[in-house]
Formats: sequence, C-alpha cells, structure tokens
Amino acid sequence: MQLESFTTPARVKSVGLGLLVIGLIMFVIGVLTNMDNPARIWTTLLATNHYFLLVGLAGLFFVASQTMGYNGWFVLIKRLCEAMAGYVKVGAILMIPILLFGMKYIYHWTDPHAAHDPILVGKAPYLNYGFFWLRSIIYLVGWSVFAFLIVRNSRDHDSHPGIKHYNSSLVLSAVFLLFFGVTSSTSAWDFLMSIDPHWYSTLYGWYTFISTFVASMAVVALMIIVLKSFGYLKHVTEEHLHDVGKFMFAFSVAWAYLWFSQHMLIWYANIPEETIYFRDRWENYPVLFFGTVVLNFVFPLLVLISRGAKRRIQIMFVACLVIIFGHWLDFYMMAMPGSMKAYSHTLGHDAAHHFVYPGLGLLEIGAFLTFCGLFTMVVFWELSKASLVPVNHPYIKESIIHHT
Amino acid sequence: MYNYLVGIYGDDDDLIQAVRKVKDAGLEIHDCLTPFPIHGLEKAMELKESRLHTAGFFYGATGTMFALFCMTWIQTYSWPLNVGGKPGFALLSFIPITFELTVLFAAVGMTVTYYLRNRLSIFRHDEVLDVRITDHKFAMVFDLDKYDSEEDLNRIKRVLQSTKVEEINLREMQHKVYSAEEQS
Repeated sequence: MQLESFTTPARVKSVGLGLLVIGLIMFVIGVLTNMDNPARIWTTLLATNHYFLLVGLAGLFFVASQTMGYNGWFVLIKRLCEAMAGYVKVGAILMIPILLFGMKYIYHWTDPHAAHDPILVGKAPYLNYGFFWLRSIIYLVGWSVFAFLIVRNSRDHDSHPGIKHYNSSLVLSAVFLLFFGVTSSTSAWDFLMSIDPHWYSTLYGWYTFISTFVASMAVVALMIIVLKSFGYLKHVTEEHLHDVGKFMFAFSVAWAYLWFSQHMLIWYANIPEETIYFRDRWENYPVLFFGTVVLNFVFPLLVLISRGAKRRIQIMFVACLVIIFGHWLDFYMMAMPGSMKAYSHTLGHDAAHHFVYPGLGLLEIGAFLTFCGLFTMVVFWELSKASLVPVNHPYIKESIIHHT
Repeated sequence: MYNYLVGIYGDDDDLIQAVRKVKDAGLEIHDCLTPFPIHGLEKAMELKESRLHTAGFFYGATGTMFALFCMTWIQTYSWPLNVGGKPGFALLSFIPITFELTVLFAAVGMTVTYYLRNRLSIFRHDEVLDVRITDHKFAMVFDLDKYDSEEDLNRIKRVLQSTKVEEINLREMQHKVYSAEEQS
C-alpha cells in the first residue's frame, strides 16, 4: 500500500466557496429583512450550526464505534470520517458567539419572567445560566479535544509502522464513546429541547443523534462519490458505497421509528403539557413538519431499499443530498416552532393571536447554504492534510478485499 | 434416470478457484453443493441475483395496504369503536399494526415462495448426491444429460483434474437435481 496524498480539486473549492458566498448573501438579506424578529435569526443560526457540528461529530463517532467493533471494512474511508471530525472545532467555536449573544432570544427560560413560572422554577437547578454554560463548555471542549486526539493519533500512524498507534486508538475510542454516550443526549436537551422548556421527551437525545448520524453517513457517501470522480480512492469500490448506503437506509428507518414512537405515545396519552409540542407543529408548520417524514423516511425507504440502488452512484448522490437537507429541516423543526411561539407571546396578546409563523425564507436557506459551504471547505482542507489511505492500519487488507 | 458428474473438494477456497477455472474453460456448472454458505461463490459462478427480495417487497406492500384498509373499514364503517375518544380514522395508532402485518406478509410470503422455488417440502425425501456435502466436503455438479458425449465427459474430467479436485464420481439419480439457476 502506498500513501495517497490529496489536494482539493479546484472545482470542489469553488463549489464550497460558491455555496458560502451565495448563502451569506441570502443570509444577510434575510437578516436585514428580519431585524424585528431576532429570535428567528438566532434560532436559525443555532439549529444550523448545531446540526453541522453534530454531523462532524457523528463522523468521529463512526470512526470510534467501528474501531471498537474491530471492523476492517471501513479502513479505506476512515480518513473521510476523520476529516469530518476536523469540523468539530470550527462548529464548537461558532457555537460560543451564538449562545453568548443569542441565548436570551432563543431560550425562553432565560427570561426574567421564568421566575414566576412554577414549572421553570422547578427546573431551575438544571436550567440556569451558570450550569448551562458549564455544560456547554464541557461538550464543546470535550468533543474538540477528542476529535483532535483521535485524528492526530491516526495520522501519526502513517509514519510509524507497528501496532502501538492502533492500540491507543482503541483506548481513545472507548473513552470517547463513553463521553459521547452521555453528552450526545444531554447536549440535545440543553441546546434544542430546552427551547421548549415545559416539555420533555426521554428519547430526544437518541433522536437528535440518529438524525445527524444518517446525515453524516450521507456526507461520507457524497465524499466517496466526489473523490472517486476526481480519480482518488482507487481501492474504494461499490462494496464500500453499498455498506455506507446500508447505514443510511437502516438509520433512516431508526430515525422514523423514534420520530413515530415519540409522536404516537404523546398523541395517545393526550396529556396537555406533552401534546403542546406537537400541537405547535401540526398547526403552525403542517407542511414542513410532515415534510421531514417524507424526506427522511419515505424517500430513503423507497429509493434505497434495493441492493442495486445502493451501488448506483447517481441514485446515491441524489439520496445523499435529500437526506442532508431533510435532516437539517428536522433540526429546524425541533428548534424554530418553540422559539417562535415564545417570541409571539412577547408581542402582547393581540399580536400573538395574529402572529404569522415564518416558513423557510432567504434567512433559513441562506444559513443552510452558508454552513454547507463552510463545512465543505473545512472538511476538504482537513482531508488534504493527510494521506487518504491509512497505510499502516492493521486491517487495511481486509478493507481492500471487502465484499458485501 | 438422471446422470450427474460430481467433483469433490476438501476446501472452500479450492472450490472457488476451481469454479473460476471451469468457467474460463467455458463449461456450464449445474450447481455447487456445500455444507455452509461460501462468501464470493455466487460471484465466481456468475449466478444471477435472486428475485426473492423483490417478491418480498410486494408481499410487504400487500400487507401494508391490507392492514390499513382493514382497520379503516372496521373503524369508520363496519364497527366503529370509541377508544378513549380518539377519532375513528386514527392513522397514528394504525401504524404499529400496519408494521406488524407488513412484516408478517413479507416473511410468510417469502418463505412460501422460497419453498416452492426450491421444490422443498417436508414430504420429500430425495437421495443426496453425496452425503458428505452435508458435513465436510464441497461438490461441483455437472449435468451429464447436457454433456452426454464421451468427448464432453473427458473434457470435464480433464479440466477438473487441473484443479485441486479430490475425487470425480459419476452418479445416477432417481430424481432430477435442480440447478442453481432453477432454484433462485
């Protein structure tokens, strides 16, 4: 095996930059036309940034979980996932100003009136400024540090033959998975679920995680397709694409399972403080809310179900784009309705009654495209820092001869 | 009476390599019989992909539609029940049963189809080409009704002897042994 060095093709760079610029222009126009509604701007930023941060982190999770599973097939695409993990630090840094300046617009529990709300008073020991910031810093720093350590260890392995780096990757992965197991759930409660502070759901953490895991698998598949079209990754075949496609398909179904479980149990039990979450979405965002199910479940189910589809580059390419957009929309649906409802109440009784809930506008699409562009540029920049093939990985041969 | 030529191999890897050689020589393999599934054998034999899962999809879709139709008909027309004040057409609560019936229809349908295609049944007790293939040997079978001349037979034997074959046996069977293509 030989090291395969990578320089980002000019076309990929210009696509990334183009997305970033077009997105930024749309976003700025969106901001200027929505200056009267800061909650919308900050919530869009939070949902989009958190989404891309977690997609990058799910790439790291994939590497760690496959390493702990002693799996061999993924070794050839390991560097792609590690490049995604390189985005974690960027997302973490961007998270801080969003929380710092946007917190009082996004989170209704930060309002001074929360002191008169008995439910929020009961939750105050957990939902308060100090503890929230402490947790946020632990997540963001912890994730970035693990991403740095795991990726550095893997890259060092290229120049040091032997088993030592592989053994330390096992230890690092195990510790990271423990940390991630707890923080993936609690961060979902903090950043997204606390937008609707009266409401809670016990499977919210997994739901958020699976959403980003599907999206990160779609990103990996997209990167395989793009890199192969530029002549890189000679040893990655349709067998690897097929396996990534299986992950996309299986976790789309898992996502639908959690979406449905949460929805049906709450609908069936019909307890007002729980159903309010879904009532806000059914009534104010009917198309987008059920649209996420079509994009993230019905579409992948019907398109990716056959073996041939998961091995066809064209079909996979379209499915990846739909899934990446669909799960972003899912994050938007988790964040925006709660924040908009709280905002409408600050307008006074009459205005709240006639409040028109904003749909997808230039602001939201612009933010999505901006982060798509940023993510593409950061990930490909990270990818060009190391060989595309981890030459000294002990399972490299298993990955080359892999056959599903 | 049906005639078959059976080449016996002691190792799965030898079998796959032999299959490739035989294919290159342009001979038609009737079937390979092994004690366990072998990864990559179907590729070496150039078998077509089974259509069983396509049938499974349609069985499943039938189950989905049957469940949704049945529950909707019962709850809105035939015998509407008041369950906790929920509406009659309560799609959310139909989903779990729809899921179960989808799985049931797909599973039962595929099992029945599989048995029919493979001509399997509890009432059939055919003799086996070579009893060791259920335990530790691997067999490559040729249909001698297709290769019935002395010349063909010698050609098959020559090709097989260039592989790591352990024995070459001629078998006369009471029943037809169906080929891999006929069973997929």
